[in-house]
Amino acid sequence: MKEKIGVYVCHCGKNIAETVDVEEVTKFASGLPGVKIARHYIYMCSEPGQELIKKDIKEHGLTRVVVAACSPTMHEPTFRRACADGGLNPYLCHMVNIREHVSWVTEDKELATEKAMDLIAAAVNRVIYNEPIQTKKLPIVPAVLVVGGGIAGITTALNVAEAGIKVYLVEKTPSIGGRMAQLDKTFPTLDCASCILTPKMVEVAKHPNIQILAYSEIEEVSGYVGNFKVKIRKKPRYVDESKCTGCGTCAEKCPVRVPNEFDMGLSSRKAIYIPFPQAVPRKYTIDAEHCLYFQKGVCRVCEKFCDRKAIDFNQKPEIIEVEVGAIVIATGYDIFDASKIPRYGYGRFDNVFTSLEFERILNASGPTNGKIVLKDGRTPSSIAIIHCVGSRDENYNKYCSRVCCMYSLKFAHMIKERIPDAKVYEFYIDMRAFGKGYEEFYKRVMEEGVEIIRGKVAEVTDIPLTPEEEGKLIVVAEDTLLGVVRRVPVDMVILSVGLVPRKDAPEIARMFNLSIGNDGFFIEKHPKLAPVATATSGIFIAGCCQGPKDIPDTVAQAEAAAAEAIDLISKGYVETEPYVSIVDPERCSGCRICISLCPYGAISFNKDKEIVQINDALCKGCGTCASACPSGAIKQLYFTDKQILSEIAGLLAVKKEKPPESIVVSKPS
Amino acid sequence: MRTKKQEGLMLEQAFKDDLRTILDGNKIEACLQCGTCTASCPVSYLMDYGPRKLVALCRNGMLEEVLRSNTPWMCVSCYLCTTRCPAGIRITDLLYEIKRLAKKSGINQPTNGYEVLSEKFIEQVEKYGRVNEMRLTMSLILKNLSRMFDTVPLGLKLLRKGRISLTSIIKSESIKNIKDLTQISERIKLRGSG
Amino acid sequence: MQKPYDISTRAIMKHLGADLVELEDWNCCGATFYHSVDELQALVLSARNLALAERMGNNLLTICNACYTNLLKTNMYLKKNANLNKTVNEILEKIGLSYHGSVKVRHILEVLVNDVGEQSIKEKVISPLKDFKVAPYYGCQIVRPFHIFDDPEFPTSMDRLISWIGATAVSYPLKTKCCGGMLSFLNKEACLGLIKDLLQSAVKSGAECIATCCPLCQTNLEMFQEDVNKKYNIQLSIPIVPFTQLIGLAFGLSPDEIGLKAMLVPLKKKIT
Repeated sequence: MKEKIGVYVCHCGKNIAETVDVEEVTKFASGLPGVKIARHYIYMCSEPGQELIKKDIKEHGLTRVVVAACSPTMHEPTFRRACADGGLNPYLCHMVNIREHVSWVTEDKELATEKAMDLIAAAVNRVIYNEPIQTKKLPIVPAVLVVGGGIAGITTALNVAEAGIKVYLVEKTPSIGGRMAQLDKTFPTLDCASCILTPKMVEVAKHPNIQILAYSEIEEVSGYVGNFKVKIRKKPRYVDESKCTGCGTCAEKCPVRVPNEFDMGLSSRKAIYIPFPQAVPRKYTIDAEHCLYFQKGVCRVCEKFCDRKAIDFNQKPEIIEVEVGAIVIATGYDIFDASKIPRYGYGRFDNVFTSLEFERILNASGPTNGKIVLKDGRTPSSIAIIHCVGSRDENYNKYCSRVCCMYSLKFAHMIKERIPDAKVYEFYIDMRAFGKGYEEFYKRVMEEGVEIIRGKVAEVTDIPLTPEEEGKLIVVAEDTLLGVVRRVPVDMVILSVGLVPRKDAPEIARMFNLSIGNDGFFIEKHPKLAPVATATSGIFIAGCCQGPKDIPDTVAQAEAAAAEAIDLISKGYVETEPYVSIVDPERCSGCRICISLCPYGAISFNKDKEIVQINDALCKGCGTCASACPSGAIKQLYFTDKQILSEIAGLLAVKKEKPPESIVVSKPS
Repeated sequence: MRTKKQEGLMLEQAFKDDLRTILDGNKIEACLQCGTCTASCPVSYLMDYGPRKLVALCRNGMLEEVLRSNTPWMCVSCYLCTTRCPAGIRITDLLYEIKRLAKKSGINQPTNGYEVLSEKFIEQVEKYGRVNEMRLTMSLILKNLSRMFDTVPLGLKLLRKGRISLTSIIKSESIKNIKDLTQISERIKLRGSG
Repeated sequence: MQKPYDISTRAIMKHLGADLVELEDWNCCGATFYHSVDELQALVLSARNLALAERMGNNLLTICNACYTNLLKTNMYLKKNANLNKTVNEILEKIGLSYHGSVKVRHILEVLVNDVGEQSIKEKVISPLKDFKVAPYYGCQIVRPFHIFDDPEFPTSMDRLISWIGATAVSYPLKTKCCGGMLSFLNKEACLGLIKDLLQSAVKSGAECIATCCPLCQTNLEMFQEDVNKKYNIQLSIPIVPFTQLIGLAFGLSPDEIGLKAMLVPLKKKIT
């Protein structure tokens, strides 16, 4: 055999070596046909480990390398680079996963060792047929799309723009600001949310590198890392943005009142409106669903009173196409629908509020101008705050929403500040005050005389059992530290609802090719080491669309996503996928089956030659065409029939007395 | 002769085995001790521990306390704890299991007459295949569980309304294939000892 | 003792043209008692009924919440646990039966609301119970632990049904709270408290009667009203009726056909 193969078995500390007999495996590998040298080492990914490979390539003239270690998603780039440094085409290196696929899934050392040997035999048999392949460098579009205009999207947009890169910030609602704009104070420092948010919103509006596309939604995404093409649908505001000065006369005159979604329906707005006073852009929008003109064909009062003639009832949706090199998704969260737990009384009792409603009640520009009052206008003398509503519960969401404990404590503090005599109760299961300054805040609230009861609330009822309970809402819970069931009569109940994925998350995931976890949130590429990247290169996620988090974590993640995007774009080029398909012009019959199947539009028909051709800048290497081609004219580099069949043959080559099934089956742990 | 400790260990093993076979039995390990069950229970005030503490005792291996507890015997099977439990524990089913184990172990449970009612009810099912309220009530009166005096006015009223008849106590009509039920009982007893 | 529920169910189903066949030689499912003694026996007892129904080629309709839960539980356990299924069938085999899991278990309330449906019921209403306020009391086991056709705590099926026959269902938040179940045999005093809350809350919400859909609920609420009055020194006198009687009334069936005269607290004149 002319190929000289080097096999390297990694111990990964004890991760592999504790279960797999690495010495035996190495001995076995050295006896395989074509293997020139086999070694094992404690950490192959370390500098000395990589050095071994480079040195052997030079000294022993290796032509192929097999590394048996962890998952290729971890270290394939590492070892390919080592080979390239040693002077070998990186695609002549092949990895075998003996950690995730072997040592971590069984405790049976014997079977693990055997399976490792089999996998290595397969790799050795395959790597012989690996071919040197090249990647191409393509230019990158120096622009970034940010989807979602909450604090995450705003932060990312500003960071990217500051680096001198063009940003398109797309927001579904008429104004940027997101959930944070709805909040009153922020824990634990009690800064006013809009005081710290609105300057950033203004900065976004003024930044020369940022184009805000508010009241717009993503229609379609195509292309690939470095070269995405995005279609954005700008919904009609029926107000000419270039003419509207935001004076508000139109809204003043509009006769229609609609529940105000920004105040969670606790107040009303007009059919022509801005969502909140500090809205950016400060342009009015007609809500066609409620506008008298759109519904009944009469009115047009706003048009009459607009000095600037900005009202345009004939506005149509507009499709805007942009090209970007990277995309950051920051679509945020919805809140848990409290009416799913009828026993807590939301929707049944007037004075049961969700936490977001209570944020609005606390807010000076909210429905009650910041006064804590009951539906009938009275001031409550007792308030219960119920934690974990819809969170940490197998019947609803299993996960902890991470922010509820802290905002609940903040509520208690705010109530005590505004109604010092009020009794405030917090019903919790576990108090999660894990952030910087959070535990201190918890202590502070305790010292303010808030009654903190450890017990999940069983129900809220209005059926009194004693005279003191008459006319009250009675919160029933076991004080688990006392072991006593308590019925606490209060005037107001606040449900600390959890954070849930946006209703349209699956739709966004489909468009951007993101994965969704069991909890419904988008999944990052690696939970620890790639927290903002996704499985699709060039697309990053930030904020609560990835999972519940507080503002500090959201901002940190948003800045990380910005850094990733800047990193990608400042490199100036992207390398194409090496595993592209190629067409053998001799065998192609021109049937064009592949063209209709290719999901990336990478294949076209050459009329002159009557054969198909593949654009390797567009080809993502999915292999669909190669498997569909009836004449076997298409092959996918790195996954040729020869390579795959040799790998299988290597796997099945029986060299031990045990029957094959006992070799390949690992014991379930 | 087995020592007390050995017997304890065997019970513990039996409990663990049973937990594994009842649906979601292993979930008690993930109990949050949140108290939803006890606070939801309509009769928890009659219980010594209540469901939450009972689960804690189970998890801590304090089986003797569990089997001596009156908690399972007070349960009215309304399943409110079960549907509300955020950890997905089927608490009502767990309480059934504890009752079965308590019976098996022979450890005395503080009883509220559940034993007698259960015995009389089952006796009726096995004898007739169905339960007649009159017969059941009579048998309970005989066992002193219901005081005769208390039930007389209601009984007379029901008689007048035609809701009960005296003949049904005397007339012992059973289902046709009552031997089916005898067979079932025997089979199960056979399995139990085997 | 629950003859009125039985005969009113048969009467209205007959009136609706539904064909009810009594399960031949059915046995008592053992309520909750067998589960406390021997789980397997509890399951086999219900499995016998299911097997008998399967042999007849029918689904199984019950008017009792406890039977409903026991039968559903048996069906589910046998489906989820193959070993158990085998054991149960081995025992059934000894009495010449077998069960393959094909029988659907239904409660009369569910069938009336979801199968018969609004239109068919409204069509049969000839004397709507106008201005009559009813507290719908579901009890526990019709929606717990298995909440197959309605919410486990705040179901609405019976509320809707009541509106279809012209009456008004009052808001009755205790609709699935426990009546004490079999504890009424053992600790009547404890149960009286629960029953008092149920009765009082219904009266407070303006209900003129409480409709039930379970024999045990019916018993506890109906039979112990006097004891509640005595114990708490109050004067409650609210009729407790199986919901099927109300439907019968609206259908224009005679009081005798639906066993109305046997109730301890009679319904108001205006609707009878």
